[in-house]
Amino acid sequence: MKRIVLIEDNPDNRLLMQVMLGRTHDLVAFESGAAALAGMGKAPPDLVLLDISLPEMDGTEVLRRLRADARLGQIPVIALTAHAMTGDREKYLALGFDGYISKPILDEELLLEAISGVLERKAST
Amino acid sequence: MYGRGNMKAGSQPKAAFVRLLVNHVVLILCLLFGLGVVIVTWNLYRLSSRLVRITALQSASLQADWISDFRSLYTSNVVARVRPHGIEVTHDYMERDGAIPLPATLTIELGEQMGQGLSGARVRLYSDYPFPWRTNGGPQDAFEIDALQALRLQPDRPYYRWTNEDNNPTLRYAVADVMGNGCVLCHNAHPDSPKTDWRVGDVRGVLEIVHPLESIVAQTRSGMRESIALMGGLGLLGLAGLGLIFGRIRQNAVFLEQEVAERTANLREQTEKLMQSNESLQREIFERNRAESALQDSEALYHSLVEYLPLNLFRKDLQGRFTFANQRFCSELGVPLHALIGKTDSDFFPANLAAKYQEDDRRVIASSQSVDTVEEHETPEGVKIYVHVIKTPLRDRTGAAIGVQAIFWDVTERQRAEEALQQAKNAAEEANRAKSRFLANMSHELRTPLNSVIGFSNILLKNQSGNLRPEDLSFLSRIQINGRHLLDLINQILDLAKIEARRMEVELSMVDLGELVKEVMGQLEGQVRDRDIVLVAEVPPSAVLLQTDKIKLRQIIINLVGNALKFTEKGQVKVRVTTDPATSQARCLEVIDTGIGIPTERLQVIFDAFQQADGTTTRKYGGTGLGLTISQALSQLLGYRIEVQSTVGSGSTFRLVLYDEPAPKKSAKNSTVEKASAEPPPPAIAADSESTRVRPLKLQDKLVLIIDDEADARVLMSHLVEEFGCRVAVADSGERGLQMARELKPDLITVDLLMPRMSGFDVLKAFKSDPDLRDIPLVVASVVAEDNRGSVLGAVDVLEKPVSREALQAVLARTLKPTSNTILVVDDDEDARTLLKQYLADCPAKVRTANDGQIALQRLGETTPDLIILDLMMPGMDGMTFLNIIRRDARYQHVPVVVVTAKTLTAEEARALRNSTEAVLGKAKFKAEDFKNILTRIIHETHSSSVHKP
Repeated sequence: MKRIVLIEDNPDNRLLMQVMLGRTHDLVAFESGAAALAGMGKAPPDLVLLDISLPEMDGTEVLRRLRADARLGQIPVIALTAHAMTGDREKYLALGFDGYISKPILDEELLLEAISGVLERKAST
Repeated sequence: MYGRGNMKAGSQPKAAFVRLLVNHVVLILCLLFGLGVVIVTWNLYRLSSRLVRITALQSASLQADWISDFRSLYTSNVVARVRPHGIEVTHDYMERDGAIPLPATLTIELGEQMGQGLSGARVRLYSDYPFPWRTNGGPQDAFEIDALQALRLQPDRPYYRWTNEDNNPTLRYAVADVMGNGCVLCHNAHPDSPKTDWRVGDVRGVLEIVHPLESIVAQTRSGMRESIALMGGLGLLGLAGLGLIFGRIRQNAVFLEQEVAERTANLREQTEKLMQSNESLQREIFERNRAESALQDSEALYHSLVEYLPLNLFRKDLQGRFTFANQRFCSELGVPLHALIGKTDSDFFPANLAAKYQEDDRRVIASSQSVDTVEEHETPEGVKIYVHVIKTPLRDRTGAAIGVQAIFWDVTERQRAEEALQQAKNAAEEANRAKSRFLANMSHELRTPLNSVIGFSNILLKNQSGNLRPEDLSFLSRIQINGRHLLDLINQILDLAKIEARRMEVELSMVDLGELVKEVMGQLEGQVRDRDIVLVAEVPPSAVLLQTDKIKLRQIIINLVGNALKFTEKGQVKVRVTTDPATSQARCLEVIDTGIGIPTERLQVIFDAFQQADGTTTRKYGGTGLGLTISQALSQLLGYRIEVQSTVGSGSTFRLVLYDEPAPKKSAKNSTVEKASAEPPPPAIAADSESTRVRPLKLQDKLVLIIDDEADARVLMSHLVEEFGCRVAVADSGERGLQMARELKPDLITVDLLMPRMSGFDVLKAFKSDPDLRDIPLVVASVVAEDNRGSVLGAVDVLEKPVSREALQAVLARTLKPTSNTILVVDDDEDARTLLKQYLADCPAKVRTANDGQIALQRLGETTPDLIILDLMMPGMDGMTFLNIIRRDARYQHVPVVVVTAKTLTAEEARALRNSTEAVLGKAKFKAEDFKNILTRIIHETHSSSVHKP
């Protein structure tokens, strides 16, 4: 079972993700980037699902710090965001995210496909 | 001219003579000098001769006198005294002791003695009565006889003659030997005397002095020679001096002459100038008169302008004193003109203002440039006004500053309006930015709760616990569907807002339209499942390449097809891609449905937001009502437009026009549908026979064989083929055609189908079974072409008769490969150049390369290529600059250019490139295949566009 860290400030969304992924993945959710960066150090996950609009430290900053961290730098990070206007996908991929999933998530399968896609790509490199 | 000529002729001989004298003065002087020398020499010679003679005469006379005196003295003082004493006086006294010589004997001996001296003179005594002992006592020659006779007659006068003795000039000087007292006694008494009756005074004989002149002559001559030499030397010196002086004089004369000539020429010139200037003076006077009246007119105009234009105008001198002002300024200032002139700003304005004006004036004068500003002022009442001021330096004719002129007028109102406008603009921009921020925020904030709505309803719909009733599930489904509808709405509203805010960027790439259509069809296939609708794609078999933004074009197609599906209950929805027959370029994409159609009056508004044909349609057919609005906005962004035709009840056709026909037909129906901005159609496909883009023609050497049994058809086809630039051969039957094809090996063959004996089908068969001929492309041209399209396998194309020029030439262009093209690859990256060259390896073209724009320009100078492949970012001259240069140059503006770049283009750049290049390829993205397709297209296009009507 893959270990996934979710960083999401909205409790509804945390719950939704828990329902969608909880049975098939080892999902750990954090409310903020700071908490996640502190908590992840103990047991580095296989994947990070990262919201962008977070209070205090936003998603892009979290990504930057993850990438700068020797132990966590290689973990694939997927942007899970409601920033879904035209061009946003390209923007976040260009920033260094390994994947991009826009909210609302229309289908559970789409989410699972995106996650396994990123994991596979990471594994093959 | 005439008078001057005359004058010259009159003074000519005199002047010539003077010139002759001056020119030959030295020669003349030499001649004169020579003559002088001759005369002087001759004279000297004469003088010297005379001198010699006088000297000789004097000397001879002296000797003779001396000898006579000596004998007389001897005779009287010696002989006469000793004789009485018995002393013998005899001629042979030497032999007798105590004897003394006779006077004559002594005289002879004395003479002999003298002759031995330097003078060489001899003394001779002779007589016609000589003593017997004298050997030569008588006259010996004619002179002596003559002398005796002459002296006897005139004893007082000496007798002399100039003779030549042994070739020496000699003076013979004879004097009479006259008997004295003593002589007579002695002679008459002498026993041997031949005569004894001598009396005193008788001439006894002759005393002759023979005086050779040689030494005197020699001396005189040498003296004369010295004199002559001295004189000659002096003369030569003098001559040399004279020569020098004359030389100098002559030089001066020549110089003077030149001077005179020059002065004369100058004078002449000046005269001419004077005449000219006189003429021009007259002209000038005329012009001046005219100018004066023009000046008066102009002054009147100036005055009317200065006084009637609603402007204030004044001038000041360098000291800031007013020199002029118009009436408006005077009345504004409240001072009459005469009171204003000579005053300065300080006389009318507060000190700070006056200082500012003076400073402005100073600046204008110092920089000698006009200043054009809007100044802010405050009226005495404290109201802010704005004044537009133009201050200009004034200069006199020499360009020296003489003052300043100011024109100003009140622009308070305009200024206020502008300020308001600027504020409004700033506010609008701020509002726009706020709107964008708001949109982004709203998007985010709306999606977040929707995530829960859609997500949780989705999970519940799965009914994993199995405890939900069908009714519950249907409610959940309503929640799900409405959640998704809400999401669509949000997405589309946001897209539209973005397009309208011009925040949408265009990303161009090479797209195969056929492929894209198929892709969209596949995506939408699900929508026609279980419905009575057929989804049809009608696209050309070959690739239809298009330079466009794939994502946006896809969205347009999805919207149009989705729309058609939505409003069509049964029948078909067809997507048709139409290409230009000549260039295979995509012309338009049509979505044709058999749906409910749109009433004519609604056609005007269907592209407006939230305007479906009927207010009820939203409820009935769903959708946001934004699809067409977005599609139209997107197509405008890409340079396309959407047209629509519709008949209520039988269906609609939405046509996405990708590029316009050269002469677009305007349809009233489409009048509301405007083409995006004023953009020209993409140039990649702008080539047609009317186009100015004439490309180099390289098909002259291609041979086309026409096989047709109809003479008229052969003539027409030949004409068209020749017009295209190819050579033509004709055959009137299938058999003859085959034979000629074997002989001539044409590059292309056209064949009629319906021919007697051997039909076109037979010809095709025969060609395809012959290994020598099977590779020659065959084109069928027949009145039954369409019907037989399927059965003429092996023909590269089929043409309907009568064959149109366009159709035939399109086939030729497609089929005939150009002989040889030159392709210029401009890229600074060597790897890129190598890669491109590899891609071009298959092309029948010569590839040349250049590192940057500058070098590429040089290459262009060498040969004009048929295609340029251009990188944009290069050191030195970059691609854009290069492109701008060649597109302005008539020689190269038609050369097709394909840009291959790694640069991310802005919409602006992409638009610019689309207007001036054939294609733009991303370096990272493009595939070898795309590249080849483009090249093939360009080469074909090149040939089709080469066709121009005669």
